[in-house]
Amino acid sequence: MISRHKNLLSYSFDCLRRYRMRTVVILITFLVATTILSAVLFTKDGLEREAEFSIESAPDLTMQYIKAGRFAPINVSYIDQIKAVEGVDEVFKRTWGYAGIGLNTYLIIGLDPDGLGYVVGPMSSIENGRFLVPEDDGTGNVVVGKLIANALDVKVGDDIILLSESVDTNRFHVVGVFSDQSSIYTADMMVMSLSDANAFFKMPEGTVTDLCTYVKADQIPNDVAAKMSWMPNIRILDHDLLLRGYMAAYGARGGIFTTVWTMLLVAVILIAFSQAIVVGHQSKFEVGLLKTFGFSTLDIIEVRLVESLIAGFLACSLGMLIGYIYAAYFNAPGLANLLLGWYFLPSEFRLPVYASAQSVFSIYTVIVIPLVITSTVPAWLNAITDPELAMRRAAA
Amino acid sequence: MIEIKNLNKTFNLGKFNETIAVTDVNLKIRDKTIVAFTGPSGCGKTTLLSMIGLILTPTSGEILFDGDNLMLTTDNYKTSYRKNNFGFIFQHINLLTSYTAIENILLPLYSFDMEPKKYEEKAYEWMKTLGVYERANHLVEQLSGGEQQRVSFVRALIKDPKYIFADEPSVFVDEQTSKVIYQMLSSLRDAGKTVIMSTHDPDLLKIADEVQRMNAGRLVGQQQRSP
Amino acid sequence: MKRILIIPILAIVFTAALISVCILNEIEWDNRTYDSTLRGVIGLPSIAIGCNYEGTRNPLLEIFVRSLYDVPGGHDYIVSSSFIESPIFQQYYREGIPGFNFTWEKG
Repeated sequence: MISRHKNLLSYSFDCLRRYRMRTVVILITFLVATTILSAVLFTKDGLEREAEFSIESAPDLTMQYIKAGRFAPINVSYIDQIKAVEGVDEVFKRTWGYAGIGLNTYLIIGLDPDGLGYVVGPMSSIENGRFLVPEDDGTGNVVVGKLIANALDVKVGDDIILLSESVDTNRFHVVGVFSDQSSIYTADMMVMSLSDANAFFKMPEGTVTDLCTYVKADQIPNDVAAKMSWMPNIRILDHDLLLRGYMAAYGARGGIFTTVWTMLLVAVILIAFSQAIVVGHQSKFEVGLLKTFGFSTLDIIEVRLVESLIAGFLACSLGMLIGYIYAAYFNAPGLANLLLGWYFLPSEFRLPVYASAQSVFSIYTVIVIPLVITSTVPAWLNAITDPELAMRRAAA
Repeated sequence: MIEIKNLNKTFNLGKFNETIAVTDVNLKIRDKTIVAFTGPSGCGKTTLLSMIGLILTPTSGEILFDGDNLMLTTDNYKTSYRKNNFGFIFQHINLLTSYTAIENILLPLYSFDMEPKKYEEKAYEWMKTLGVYERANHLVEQLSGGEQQRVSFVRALIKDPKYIFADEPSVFVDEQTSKVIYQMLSSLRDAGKTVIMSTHDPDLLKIADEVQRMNAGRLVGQQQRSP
Repeated sequence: MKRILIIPILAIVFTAALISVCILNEIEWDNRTYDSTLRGVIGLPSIAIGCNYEGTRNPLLEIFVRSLYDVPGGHDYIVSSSFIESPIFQQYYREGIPGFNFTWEKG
């Protein structure tokens, strides 16, 4: 039994060589299709996964003030009301917004000194210098991301001057620079104390951008949020809502992606089918001859199955490897901008790429199965025909 | 012994291009003989040969090999029977052009549960006998018609089959190869094989133990050579 | 014989390499903790895809405004932002076409 299967394997391998043109066409086509497909899929999955990480770390509930349907600064007096709600553990203030430096926009975040010690764990995302401490409040000390550090050519110990919206100058002192590794999150970020951010943005007295609410460990954030429903003009954002919003951002692009995927799949099947037709007569004759010699129908199916699996897996695996390298190591030039729409992608960080088992399996299924079907079904049909007829029709 | 009872074959049955190829053939073929079918082109020789060789399904009738009616068996059984007992020599030779001579010869052995390479020596011996040993590693398209037919002979014999089916074995070959074929077939019969062939060649008909004449799909005459 | 084994060998090698990459990638993502403290302290969702549009790190607003081809300050900004008023507890809205968030409607 083993020898027979070894013989059939050997014959399959040789078919790849004999039907050289067909093998080459299939390999090249499937390779290109898989490379594009996998680069898009891995990048999209990476961005979604990255967004999940971000949202996981967000406060349990983010409280924002809505005035005339617009998002407006929230008065810190709400803190006492919020803290009084059953289930609330802590509430911290946060001010954040955008500042223009040259043609680019960066993110300024002002952190509540009381909240700096709330999250426990080592701060390993600093490459040089240190992170903020409560004593930095009002001092102008900042930690900057790589994008800003490179754009302004600053390092720890340097001072920088930023123009605010009200066109006054603000001097800041760099005490830390975020690492390359964290730059997917921090590249465009400048972190300072809450007072400094409020001063920079000229926030109205006693207001901040939002309030970060943390619930007690035994509480469900949605339940706690429901207890705050009586607060007028307050928008409460929990993790699910944030996640849905961000998934929709990549999901819309994903809609384009799904269309591309479908078109590629159709193209792949058409090419596989046309190749089956091209070698059809030769293959039909061969099947008739093999059956004459005593190859069973199952033997013939096994030969064609192995042949198509090898070609399929070679093209698919290599394509996915190339797609992964293209996205993970070269930042997917051309594709990233298409996938992310009108966002720009600074070169200071690597695209998050996620080659999940699910995606890899999906691509294998979508690419290899049509190839196997277009190879084995015609072979099976020929194998169940009388050998004499198969050879005669092929000759005709 | 092979017994053929009421064998019929109609192509495209029930369609506008229906063709009756073989009609009501009844025949017994003794073992260790050469039986030749002869007749005008299109009389059904190849069709009959293919049916007896189990590579074409009859429309009706029975074919018994040593008493077993193989028409009642499955496709797998027929395939297995062919594998273990039959060797084929085709009119159009039917070698795979992208293989060498030796690869074509060993091809039938790939369906067996053994290493084909074990039969290489035997193949070379046969090739020497038939005068194509030097061409063993040449691609088929590099061989002449006569050489290809000799290679196809070796392919048919490599499994040491009990029955050899030869469809017009001398039609596309030169005189020298024809002589080799005559000698080959005679010696096979002498070695205990049963040879069933279709031919127009008068020299091949001379070596046959039994000649069956066909016309319009029917057996119309029989001639037996006295022992 | 060596020549015809190249393709199947390559198929096995590349498939094995891909599966390794996949496994390493999964482990890397599952064990990702190096910036967890930082993210917890900052607490701001989204990733550093900078742009000239202020809605980038504004939860939800960017999605609706973009899908309605609007910019902040424009007429539809009010309409789009009002969609997300108290969404958690009122549940007034549902997606007209599931999966397409700009088809939200009342009811």
